[in-house]
Amino acid sequence: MREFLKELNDATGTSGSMVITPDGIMVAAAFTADLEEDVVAAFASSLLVSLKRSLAKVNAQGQLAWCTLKASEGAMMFVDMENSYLVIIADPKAELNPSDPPVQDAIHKIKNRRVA
Amino acid sequence: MLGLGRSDEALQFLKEARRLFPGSPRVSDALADTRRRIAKAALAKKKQEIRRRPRLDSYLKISDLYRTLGDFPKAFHYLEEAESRFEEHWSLHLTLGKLHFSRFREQRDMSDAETSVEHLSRADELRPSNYQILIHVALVNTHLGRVALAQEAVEAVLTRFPNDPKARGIRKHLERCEEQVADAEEAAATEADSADSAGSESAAGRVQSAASHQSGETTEATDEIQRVASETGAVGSFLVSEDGSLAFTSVSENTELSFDACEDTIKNMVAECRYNAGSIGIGEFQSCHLSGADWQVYIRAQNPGHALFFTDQSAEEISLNNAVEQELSAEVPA
Repeated sequence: MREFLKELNDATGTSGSMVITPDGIMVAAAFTADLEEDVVAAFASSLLVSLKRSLAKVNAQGQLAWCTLKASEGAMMFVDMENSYLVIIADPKAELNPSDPPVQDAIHKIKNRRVA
Repeated sequence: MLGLGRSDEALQFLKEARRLFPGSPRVSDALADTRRRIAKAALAKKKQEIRRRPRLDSYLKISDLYRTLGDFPKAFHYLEEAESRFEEHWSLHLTLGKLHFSRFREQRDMSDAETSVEHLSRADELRPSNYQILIHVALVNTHLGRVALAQEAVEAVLTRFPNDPKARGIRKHLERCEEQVADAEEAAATEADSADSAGSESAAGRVQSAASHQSGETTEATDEIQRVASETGAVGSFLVSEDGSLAFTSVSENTELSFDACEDTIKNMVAECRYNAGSIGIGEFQSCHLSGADWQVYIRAQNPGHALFFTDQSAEEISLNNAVEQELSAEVPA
């Protein structure tokens, strides 16, 4: 799975990516040297769990399909893979889109990899 | 754009045209026509959904779309089907109440008004203190001249949402109505009844204008958010101040999303985005766009504070972040 994430990083020019479970447990990660894997995983998980809890409180039904967060020095995207989330960290100017082919390709490989 | 199936872009284009040419009947007609087309497309999709998986909220949405298109028979048909398929639910009574009231406003049949009141009362029994229900109880009773009942509902809303512009607008309107009644009674006892009915009959337009007047008293930031919410069709819009308090709330009367007692939830969403963006190391939070099957949320750093917009439309129907960004004039702080 880490190899797929590295391929995704190379294809999109992003700083890093990881797979986390719906309750925020990191499954696999591939980050560049200037990002601390454990730190990113912990806070990304925390954000995901918190946002999902808030969405449930406003009766936003169904799964969180995707989320893109932009900040002054970077951007982050979560994409639902049914039993886990793909998380991508990129630079602030990146136009992250869950339907981009490299993202969909990575999701396809990860899901099939898990099934196998 | 419509011919290419890009109705979302066409709508944004026409909204910009309306902004530039506010008095143009051609633009207004095109905008209304585009909205009907989008409603029809949304209808087709929702009908597919209920064929695959019948859900109460899908039936309610379909009924509401027909109400938007002015087709009352079909709007009622889907609610009757929902009544036969599903257990009694407050949202069904709310939608029935709204639909009867809409028809009353068009056709002026008092039985519709009375039926509307019955359904809203039942909705309130099933789901006490619900914002949408209370606002509609207030609106319907205002239109019917039942001031005391309208006031009771409005005060119930303002107890929980003291800054709600809709409720404040209705209260202001009711206060004016009472002043007018008192003036008329003072002038002549026999003229008091006709002055009452004249006040009630004009309630429809005056609630809106009162609300607009109330909006004019809010800050520039909240006015902007209210305008953006209106233009983008957002069903919930909020402003969280720099100090973390909820400075502004506006909730649509027609959504499956629930904003009851949501103040802490809204504040937490902003706080979590800000905190985690900084902690992850990607700098100061600017925006967050969340999407589900038939809803979206857009959180945006404003100047000052943070704005949140909720829609019950999918990302295929409208790109909420793009729609908001086009409408907003404030720039995201660097």
